[in-house]
Amino acid sequence: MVDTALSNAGPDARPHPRGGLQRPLAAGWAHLRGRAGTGSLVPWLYLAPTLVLLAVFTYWPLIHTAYLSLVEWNLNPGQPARFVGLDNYSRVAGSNLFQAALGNTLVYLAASIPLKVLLPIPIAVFLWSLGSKGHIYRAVLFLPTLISFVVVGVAVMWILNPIFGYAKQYAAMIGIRMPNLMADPDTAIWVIIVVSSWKVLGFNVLLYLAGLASINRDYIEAMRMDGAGDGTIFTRLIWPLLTPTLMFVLISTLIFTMQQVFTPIDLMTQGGPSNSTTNLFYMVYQYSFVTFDVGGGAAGTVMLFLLLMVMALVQLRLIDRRVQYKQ
Amino acid sequence: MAFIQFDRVSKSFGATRVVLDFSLEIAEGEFVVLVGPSGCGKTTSLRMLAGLEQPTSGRILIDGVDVTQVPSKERGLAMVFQSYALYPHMSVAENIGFALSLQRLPKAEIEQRVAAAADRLDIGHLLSRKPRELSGGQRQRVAVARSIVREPRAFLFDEPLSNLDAKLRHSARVEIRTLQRQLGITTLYVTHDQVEAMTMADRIVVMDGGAIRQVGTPMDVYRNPNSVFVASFLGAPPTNCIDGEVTVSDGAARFVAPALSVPLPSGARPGRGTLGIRPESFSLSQQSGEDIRLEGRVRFVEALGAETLIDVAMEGQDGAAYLTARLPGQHDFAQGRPIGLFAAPASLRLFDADGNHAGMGR
Repeated sequence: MVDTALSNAGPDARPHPRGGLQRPLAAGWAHLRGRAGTGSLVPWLYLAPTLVLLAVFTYWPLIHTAYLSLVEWNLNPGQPARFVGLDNYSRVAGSNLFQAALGNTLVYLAASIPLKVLLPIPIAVFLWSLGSKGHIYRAVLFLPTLISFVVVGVAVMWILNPIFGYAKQYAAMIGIRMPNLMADPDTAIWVIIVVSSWKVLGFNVLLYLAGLASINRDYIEAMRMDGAGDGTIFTRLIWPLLTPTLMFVLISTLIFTMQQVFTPIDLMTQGGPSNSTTNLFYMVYQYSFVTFDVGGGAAGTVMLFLLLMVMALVQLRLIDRRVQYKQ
Repeated sequence: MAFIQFDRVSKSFGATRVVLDFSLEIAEGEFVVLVGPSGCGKTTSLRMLAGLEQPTSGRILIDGVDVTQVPSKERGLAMVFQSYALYPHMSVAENIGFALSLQRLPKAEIEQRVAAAADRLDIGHLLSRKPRELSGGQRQRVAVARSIVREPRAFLFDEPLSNLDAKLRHSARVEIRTLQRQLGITTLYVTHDQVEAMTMADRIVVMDGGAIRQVGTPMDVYRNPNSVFVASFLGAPPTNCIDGEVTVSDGAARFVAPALSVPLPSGARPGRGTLGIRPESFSLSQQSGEDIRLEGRVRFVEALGAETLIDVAMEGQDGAAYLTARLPGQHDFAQGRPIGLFAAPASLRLFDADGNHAGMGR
């Protein structure tokens, strides 16, 4: 590039008073700026890898899914797709499976807030107060995040098995006959909720610890000097300063929860009993890859996408107003 | 106003002893400055008074009452932190009035007292701003306003000016000292900046290695340092400390060092020692017949405008000694030029082999 710049400098190039060939360099920069700014392909070349990946793996599937939601097709390449308009939407929305999945999704989300978003806060504050002594507890809490959900699911099924599970022995010790939690429509969803919460708890504790680490401990000492006790320090200082982390944990956990419970649902209940554990995410899988109803699956996917988008927007708009981002 | 006593207070963190046998009394309304190098234990001593650290041994008393085990919120003290520690999510008014709101005072009274404190520090126009919208000097004023609004028994300052530039630091020194005199509140102030210590304190406490090295009025400590450490810590440039030996021959004592031989008053005991001479003790002309004369060569000249610092090397057959002279006015000396410096015998300080004052020059 320097060579190009120098060669374009022209015959009147002269040394700059402070040394160097000022004019050729300036001309070179202008040349590059001109190429970059007026219809050059250079910026697009830099952006190309990301744009290609986004186009192929995000935007095209999104568009194609929207198209598939408007047709009737059974994945057979030899059979053409038939345009059915919004029939797939009305059919899916009116189905018992969708209504059960939507209801269960709301239960999963509602249960996530206290168990996955709020419960890690006192744990993180406690570990934070321990300082370096809390490292071992952090490691213990984070361990479940590293274990495969398949392993966790199988282990939980063994533990809760009403015939030969470990829990049966402990239930017997307190005089209780071990119920079949996984077969009961009222309890199966709670098994999945508790297991998925246990698995994500340590990760969210770690996120809160990162948020707490950014709080200057001088603030706490200043509050103590001002006459504040532990409760006041938490409500008037830690909680407001932790809101950016809380916001992040809330949005990511709620969106992640939709997908995270797929594995335990598929492994432990396959959505049953009586659709009591399925959610919208698993419903899409059931439509698309169990009954091979591509149009229904695509319609469910679009509805799920819209639901997640609305959730994110509402959270950003409503909760963002109360967030203290800058310290 | 409070009468504060540290009674043989020590503090250890694990095996590391940070404060050793610290005893000090601060009279009502007195402004005492703890000064010393980093890690000397001054901030830990302040934090123990604040209740933010628990002493390993000893007692802390406020107005005669042992508060060693009393939580900081019940000690009635206010502290200005080095970082100011202004609550970032609260406005300036909320920051200043926070302690009052915890006392559940009526809202009108809180507003009135916040406004009065803000007016006193000339930050009334900043009350609705957040700390991030303030300059360093404004933050420091808010921190001071937050400490005075409670009408505390004593002020504690932990290097509150260290984040300010030199110009602001000067005006802040004057303001804090003026404010303290007006309010008459007992103050303990920690700094590593000797200028702050010298200009603000009623008494300064020089610390080193967790222990008190000297306590006194600023000028007393400056003029009569009790050790090489204090002599070399206070003053900029520091006291010239020259290691050598005291010899006594026919009743006449001399301090002998490489390239240096200085007569000493009678009474000096022979042995290793250190001679201390303040840079401003030198002059280019003899002021009296008793003045000692030192010969050397100019190494470096620093012209500061109102005064000139001259580094001088005194080279002899058995080594060299180096010193700095601080002369009023402007002087232009070529590097390597011979120079003669005079100093009154009374300005010399002799320290023994342990670095303690050897009784001369007071």
